[in-house]
This record gives sequence, structure tokens and C-alpha cells, in this order.
Amino acid sequence: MELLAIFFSVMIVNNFILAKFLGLCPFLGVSRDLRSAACMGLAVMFVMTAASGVTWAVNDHVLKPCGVMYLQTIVFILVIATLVQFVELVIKKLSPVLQRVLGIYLPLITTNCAVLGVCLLNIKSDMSLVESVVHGFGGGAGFALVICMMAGIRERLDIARVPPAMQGIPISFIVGCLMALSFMGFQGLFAG
Amino acid sequence: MGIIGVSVLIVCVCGLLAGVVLAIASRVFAVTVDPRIEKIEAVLPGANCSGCGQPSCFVFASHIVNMGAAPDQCVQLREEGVLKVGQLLGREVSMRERQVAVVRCYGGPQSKKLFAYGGFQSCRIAEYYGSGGNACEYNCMTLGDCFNICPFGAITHTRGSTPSIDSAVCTGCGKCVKECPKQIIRLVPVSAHAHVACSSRDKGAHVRAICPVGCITCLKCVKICPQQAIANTDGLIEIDYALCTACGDCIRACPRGIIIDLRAPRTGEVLPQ
Repeated sequence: MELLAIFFSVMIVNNFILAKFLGLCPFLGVSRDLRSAACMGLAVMFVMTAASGVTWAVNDHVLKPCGVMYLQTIVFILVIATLVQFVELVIKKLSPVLQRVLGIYLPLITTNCAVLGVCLLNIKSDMSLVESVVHGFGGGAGFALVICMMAGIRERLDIARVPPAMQGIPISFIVGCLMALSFMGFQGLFAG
Repeated sequence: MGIIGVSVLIVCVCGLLAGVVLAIASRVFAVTVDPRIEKIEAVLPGANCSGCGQPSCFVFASHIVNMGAAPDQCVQLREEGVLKVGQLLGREVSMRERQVAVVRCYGGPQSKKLFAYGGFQSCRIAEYYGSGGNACEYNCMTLGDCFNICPFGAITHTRGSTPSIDSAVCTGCGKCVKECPKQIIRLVPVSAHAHVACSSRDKGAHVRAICPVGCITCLKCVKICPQQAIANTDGLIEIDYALCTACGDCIRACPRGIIIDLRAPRTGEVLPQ
């Protein structure tokens, strides 16, 4: 029950894009069409889950015993980058199909701030290993959900009549803003 | 050892470990790629136009090497390129004739309109709204979807007139053929001579009422052709370019003047009346 609450609260209420403003770069950059947005969402989900687990272990078994918790940010970036490269090598060998789907998106999200953010938040809120992984998975799922919704809206926006000054990025920001407003409606859903 | 020393040491050790792990992984999970694929991909145009039926030039290159696909399926590769791919492969390759796209309609602005279409300026959307106001079901709507999709800039188009396709630039990738909602663009061999510039399958009387340059299916061309290269299939006149000897009899015989000479210089504008 606790885990479900973590999953849904990070996915919907404390969404990484709409509530914490993390990972805005791929949110606007890769939401042109639904297909690539879905691939990006899958890749983020994958990396966030894996990174949560690995960084929790690194923090607990390396940084804590050495008493160098202040190195979290730089070590986590290192660990996440290595992990992504490693996973890419494994996928290339084992599953060409998955590689074609995630392909170019995996290296893109190596230094995505949402991925780093989820790892730092795990440590900050003293989560256990299982909780961290669920938190990471929920964060990735929330990211995928929102980026797919955004891609759907932007596909429709392409044929809408938008004033010249607002075309492209400006109207996308306004759409993102309205989505954030509507997601505020979920506030307090898991408070009790 | 101060606080700085410890930090530097730990980050260095982490970095070193990460490097070692990646080095081992790249050995263990190495994927061998046929080096010919890369060389052939370098010869291919790299436009990823998908005229060959594959999503990208890389996929096509691996199909050439692994599945024995013919390199001349690439619509842009000219003869020397095909020969070069053949050299890299070490097998015999052939070169087929280049194809170009032509529009099978010159009626465009001349045919009868049922209403003035003021909606979104795209053929695919106008198609849903009563063919963009055209009385003829097979009429070019002149909104330029083919112009927008052409990756090579071979199509010139001004709104309100049928597009003209430059056969020197066209690579025959077929993107406009697939894009056109009316399906009135087709691919012909670059040496093609006579071309029927109308796609109508309607009956003669109806065509005569709505379009000054529509095919009324009088079949004069079918009868006059000495090679029997012209056939009437369900009301649509088709020329078999394998049989055509470019004698030009059909061009002279057509009472509507809509069989045109593709080799003659043309602008693609409105036909003379």
C-alpha cells in the first residue's frame, strides 16, 4: 500500500515535469510526434528505474561508509552515465529490436536532470532500496504519460490556426503550463 | 589527507571502475558488423528518402549485403554509383531505367467548381470536404501536398495551378505518388513519350460537362496505336511503355489534346485550348 502511494504520488501528483519542472528539455524537444515521444518515455522509464537502484546502492555502500555524502551529485552523474552506456551495449547485443526503439534516446537522457533528480530525491527522503526503485519507476511512468499527452496535443496544434507570434515553442509552453494547472487538481489525493 | 584529497581519490576510483566496467562490457557484448555495409552506405545518397522501400539508407545497405537486394532499387543512385556498389559486393549488378513522376491532370483550375473551398490549405484535408469544391472526382486540387513532401525540390507549384515536376531533378522516389489523396501522380520511365494527362474514369458526357481538358474515353488513341500499346482499363487510358515506339500517332489523334509529349519542353501550366 505504501509502495502504491509512492508510485502514484510521484507519477501524478508530484509529476517530475509538471510539478518539479525537471526534464523540460526532452519534454519540448522530443514531443513533436507521438511515436518518438513514446520511445523517449520508455527510455526514461527504463533509465530512471535502473538508476534509482544503482545510485541507492552506491550511496549506501560507498558514499555513506566513507563519509563523503557531499559528493553525491558528481558521483551520481558518473554512475548514471556509465549505467546508460552499459545498458546500451547489452541491448545492442541481446535485442536489436529494443535497440531500434530506444536507440538514439538512451544516450540523450544520460544527463537528463529528471534522472539525476529522482536519485537525489531518493536519498533526501531516506527511502529503502525497494522504495527507491518504485519511486524511480513511478517518476519515469509520469514522465512518459505527460510527454505522450504533450505529443498528442502538439500533433493537433500543427493543424490549428495559431497566431504567428505564438507558433512553435511559445504555444507549447502555454500548453505545458495549462497541463501543469490541470494536474494541480490531483493535489492532496494521497495526503490522507 | 585532507577533505580535498579524499574527494579526489573517491571520484577518481569511481571513474576508473566505471571505465574498466565499460571496457570489459564493450569486449563481451561486441557486435560484429559486416564492414561492407558501412562502405556501401557511404556510396548511397544518404537522403533516407525510403524510395527503395526501406526506412533508411543504412537498412537498405544491410539488405544489399545480407539479403541480396539489388542496388539499383535505390531511386537516386546513378549508374556509376551502382557499379561501385557492385565492385564492393563483388557481384554482377544491373541498372534499371530511371523513373520520374508525372501528374495525370491538367484540369486543375479549369474544371468546374461546385463551391469555393476556404478551409485548411492541404489536399489531404480538402479531400474530406467534397474534394475541395471540385466537380471532378479525379481533379488535382492544386493545394500542393506533393510540393511539400518532395525531398528533392523537383516540384514547382503555385496555388491554383497544377504542379509541374522537373524530370531532370525528380528521382522517382514515389513520395508524391503516395502522398496525393487523389492518386493522380504516377511514375513513368524517364524516356516515356506520350502521356495521358487525365485520370478520370467518368463517362464522356459527364466529363465534357465539367472539364475542358478531361478524357472522354472516345478510344481514338486505343484504335490508332499501331503497337496496341494503349488500353482502356475501367475507363482509364493506360499506355504500356514497354510497347510504345514513340510514333506520336495518339498525340495527334486525341480530340481533347490531353495526350502530351513528355519529351517536348513543357511548363506544366494550363494546356492551350
